[in-house]
Amino acid sequence: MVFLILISHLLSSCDKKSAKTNSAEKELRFPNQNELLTKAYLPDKGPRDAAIEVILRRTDAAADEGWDSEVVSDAAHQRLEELLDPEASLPEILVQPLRPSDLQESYTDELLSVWRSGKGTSSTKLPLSQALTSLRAIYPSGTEDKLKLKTYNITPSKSPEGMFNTKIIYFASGKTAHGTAQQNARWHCSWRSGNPPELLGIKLIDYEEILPKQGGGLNFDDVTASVFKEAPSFQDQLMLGIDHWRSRLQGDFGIDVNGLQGISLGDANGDGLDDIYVCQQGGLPNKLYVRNLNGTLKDVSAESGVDWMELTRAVLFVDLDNDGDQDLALAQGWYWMLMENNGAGIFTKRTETKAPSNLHSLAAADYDLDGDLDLYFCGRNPARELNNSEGILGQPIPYHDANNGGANLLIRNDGNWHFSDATVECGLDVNNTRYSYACSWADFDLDGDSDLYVANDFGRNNLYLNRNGKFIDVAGSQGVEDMSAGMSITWGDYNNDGRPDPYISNMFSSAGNRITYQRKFRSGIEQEIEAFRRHARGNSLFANIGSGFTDVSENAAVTMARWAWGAKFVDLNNDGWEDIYVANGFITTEDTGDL
Amino acid sequence: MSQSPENLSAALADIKASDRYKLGWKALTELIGQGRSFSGNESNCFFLNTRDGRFTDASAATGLSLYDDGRAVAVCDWDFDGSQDLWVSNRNAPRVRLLRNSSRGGDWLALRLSGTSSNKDAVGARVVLDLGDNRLRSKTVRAGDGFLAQSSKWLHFGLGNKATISSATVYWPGGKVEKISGLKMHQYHTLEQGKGQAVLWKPPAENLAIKTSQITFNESNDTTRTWLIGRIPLPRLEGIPDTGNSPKLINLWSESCAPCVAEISEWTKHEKKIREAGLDIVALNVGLLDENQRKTTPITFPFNSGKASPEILDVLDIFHRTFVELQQPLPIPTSFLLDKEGRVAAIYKGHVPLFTLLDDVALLSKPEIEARDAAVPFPGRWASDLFPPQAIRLAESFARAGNPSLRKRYLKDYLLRFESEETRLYLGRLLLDENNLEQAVRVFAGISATTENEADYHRSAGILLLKYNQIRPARNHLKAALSVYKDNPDFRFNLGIAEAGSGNLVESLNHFRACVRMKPTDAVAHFQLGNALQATGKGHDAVTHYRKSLQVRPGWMFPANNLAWLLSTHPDSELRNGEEAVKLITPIIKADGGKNHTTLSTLAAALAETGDFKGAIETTTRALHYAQSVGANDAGLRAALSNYRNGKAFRGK
Repeated sequence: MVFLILISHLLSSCDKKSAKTNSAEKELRFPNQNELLTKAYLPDKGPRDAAIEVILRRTDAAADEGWDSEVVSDAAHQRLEELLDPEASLPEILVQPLRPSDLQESYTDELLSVWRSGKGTSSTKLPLSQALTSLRAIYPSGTEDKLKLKTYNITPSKSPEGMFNTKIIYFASGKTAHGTAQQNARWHCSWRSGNPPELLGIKLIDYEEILPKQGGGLNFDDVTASVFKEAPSFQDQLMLGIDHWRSRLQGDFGIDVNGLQGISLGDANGDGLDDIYVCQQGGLPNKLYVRNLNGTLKDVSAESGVDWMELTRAVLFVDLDNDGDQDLALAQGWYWMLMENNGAGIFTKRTETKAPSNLHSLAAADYDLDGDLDLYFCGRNPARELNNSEGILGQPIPYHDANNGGANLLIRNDGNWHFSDATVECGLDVNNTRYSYACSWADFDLDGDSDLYVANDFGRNNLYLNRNGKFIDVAGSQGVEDMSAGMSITWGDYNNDGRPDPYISNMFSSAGNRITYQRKFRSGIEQEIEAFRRHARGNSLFANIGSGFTDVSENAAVTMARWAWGAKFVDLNNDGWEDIYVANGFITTEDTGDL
Repeated sequence: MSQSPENLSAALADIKASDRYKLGWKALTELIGQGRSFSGNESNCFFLNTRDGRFTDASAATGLSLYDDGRAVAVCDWDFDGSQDLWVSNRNAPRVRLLRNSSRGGDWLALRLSGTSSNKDAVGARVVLDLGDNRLRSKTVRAGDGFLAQSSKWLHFGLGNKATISSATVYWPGGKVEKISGLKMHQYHTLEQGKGQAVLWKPPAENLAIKTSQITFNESNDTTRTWLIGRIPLPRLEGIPDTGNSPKLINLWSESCAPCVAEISEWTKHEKKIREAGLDIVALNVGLLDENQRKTTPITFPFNSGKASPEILDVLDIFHRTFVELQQPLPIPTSFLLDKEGRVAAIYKGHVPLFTLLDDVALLSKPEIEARDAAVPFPGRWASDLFPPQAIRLAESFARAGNPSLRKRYLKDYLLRFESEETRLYLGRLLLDENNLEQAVRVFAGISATTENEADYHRSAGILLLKYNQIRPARNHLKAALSVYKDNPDFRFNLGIAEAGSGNLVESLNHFRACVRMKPTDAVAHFQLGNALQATGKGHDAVTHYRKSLQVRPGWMFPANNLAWLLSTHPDSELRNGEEAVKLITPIIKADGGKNHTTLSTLAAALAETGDFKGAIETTTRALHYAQSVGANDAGLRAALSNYRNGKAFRGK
């Protein structure tokens, strides 16, 4: 066969005028070059699939005459909140004891103790009012200070008379003599339909309480204002959230409704103390604050040369040239930038390179063991010109297992401030476009080199095994694909067996849980439904057992961290066991009717 | 109330899953765009490791249940009190918080490594402590862990109660193992690779000025000023008087709105100052839309006044939504500041103070790069250029809002006043999509700034039409310019393409010949000439020009493939040379990855010509596989395959 006419090729080689224009276009540098020509309306961060279902129910189906689990669930949830108001007049029903009598101390240290009961006690029922009084008895005031309920499951009852059941999570906390105590429980509530629905009974699924010891327990204080006391930019700039700027700054600067701006701790000025770099959205300067000897902060953003106005999501303090000071690597949306530290905290730009995708997190490691640090960038969204779908999100397809996102990058350090894209030659171009949010290096097989875990939104994650500087995605065979909406990855040895274990934060959506367990949720195959359920489950913890990984998330009780973003292993009580902190919440605005 | 999940499912099943998906995205993104809360008010979670393989949510009991929209978490011992503190970044205010751990719990020690043969930061190094309790405490130096976060490079070990360290080991990147001595409880240490000995490090002795403190939220203020970069004009609108070449403020107001009236009075009072600054004002009364308010007494406003038509309001609203991310309706008062070219420079929602207005008018005459600094609330360093004007984006917004004819009108008007090749191309394509060829060509032709003479116009139009695959009209335009451009080799080449594409092969031959005569080193022209010769049955001449093309551009796949094909399949045995064809095509296949069915089929033909039918069959089978995988027509390949199976080489016509 022969090649025939090649019009486009020929024109670009023969029509000099247009060829010249094209190359000129390539050289231009706009913050959101790819976004200029397309939709202005869509936010950067997507809803999760299950959440989409919620909207569908509420916009379309709620108007339907049919049984709408979401409407019923809302009514029951609201009714339960009313009944749990200490002033409420309670129906005269009998329920299981809500604070079991067989509590066992399952954890204790200098600071606090944890008491648990696996089962609701016996079948001895007592009036609801009495059950609630004894539940609240741990607080000297007779009632909790804070209460939060989550309805995570709703099922129509088998009996036909308009009965249904809900499962809820109960979180209460309040002052005690030594500090704040907390109660966590799960209840199974049965209801009769009505307006409002009528509560028929409560069964306890599980219960635990956390009691502080004398001395105040494990406690954290918000000291933010005091450390920023002498840095006015905190009050002027950092005390205004994204929503303030969304209505003021031109969107093209790079306003990210999700507020995906990170922080980094590192020693910028070489005095041995960690300083903090705060990334900011486009149109606002990034901030560098150095730590004064007394623990407060000094704003040196401008004089250190790092007050970039372009959208920045994440930054690392890393010694890229092994000269003993901390240089900077920045993930700035469509660009990545490297800056050299002169040793005294003054930074000079060494490279600024266009990325093929919209960059989010980054992490450094010496993957090729040549003695200098290399960088891996997550490029969640594809570049606009490659993406003809609607909106900046693109459309993840299929949305529970999408592989049409932006490409991630491995940038190899070749020394003397030379860097090259080694993604393809190292085999990291495999499964590389899965809407990656976060990455973290760890030598999970303890063979002396750094392997890489990548947390992907909308689907499977990657675990790249490092074999002499070439990578193989072993997430499937190692059992850590964690098919759900991955937002972050942190490594820590939670069981102290010497092997690092990954904890991945995902979205826990009570709405998603409720809907995916509906009997006829989607007319799809069971396998697909299972994928949806898994998607809404929440965070995942995998135990590294040496020959692979075991999903221990549910037994370890670390799934329910709400709409989770950054998670981090950290031992907060110095007992030698890694705890976990999770930052969460999608979008809180002044609007009270949370979707 | 009927309870039938089946009905609901049936109803939903009618909508295709993919449509529901898109619908869901759209609904959700719109709601978020309007400022709705979604999975908000969620408290951060602290999971306490209870050492039995389980964790307990102890967020509330520890003061860590913050209701911010939390994002990144970074840890360090900020106050050097031996316990880990937390830095958290948020979507909303405060954008960062420091949460100080005021309890200590168990024993601890901290260690900071530095590499010598390993990277200086010791990233990837793992320290393992053995406390003699059949457990290992291990931590790795990381740069980037969690989400958008980097924690301190200090390795902080909690050790529980009364622990003794029976051994401490570093596993450096690459596998070197080093024992550490000299670690002390409740101390900070540094360790340099190869030294084996930890060195005590003392935190600063200064008293801390860190204390529990209340943050103060800034008061919210609905008055906003948005300065725009890449200015573009509003569409022509009836009801907005033309006030000539001076900056202009378009103000939306109503009598029932007190701040509006105050603003109008202020402008009336300071008329002189405003006129001196060169600003004209057009106050458009929104209230007049309401029939009941028609009887209102006319105000004595020294500038222009009128009523805001629904069209004006609609256009201003779309303009605002296109450039401001939060999708909320315009409040009253709202004002748009236009520069003397009529381009929107600023949008003010709420009352605009007179001094802001006058400062902004002064800013209009500054270069846009300076005005950019005034567009943002704080100074900083820019790495980027200015955004270009975004007329296309606004036009698209009009179309999306259901007004495609305004899109077209706006772009046409824009092009009458401003030069923008991108906008021309966009509008031209729009017109082409509507089959409005005549107008499309006029728009495209405007691309080259000088279209005074007809030949230029026809030449530009022809080239652009070629670009959009409108071959026949392209040919007609190019032919009309031939007499002027007959000595331009590139022009002749393009016309050759257009003639070939229109089926006039003989004509095309002449133009390609003319091109290679004027430009003998044009590999592309030789290649196309070769194609045209082959198509007109002049195989021998085709071979000559394919070879010339390859001489200029060795290894170029197109002429190499076509030449190899001719050498393998030409009916004239004098011309055929299977051996050479194999030599030609083999490196091409190596370079293209071996998955191109076209080059594979050429190799098969060449192999068959050398008598290697086994190889030809195998190669054709591969070609078929790849042809099918890209959905190409495989009839020719099948015909060739049956030839080879019968021990026959393939012959062209």
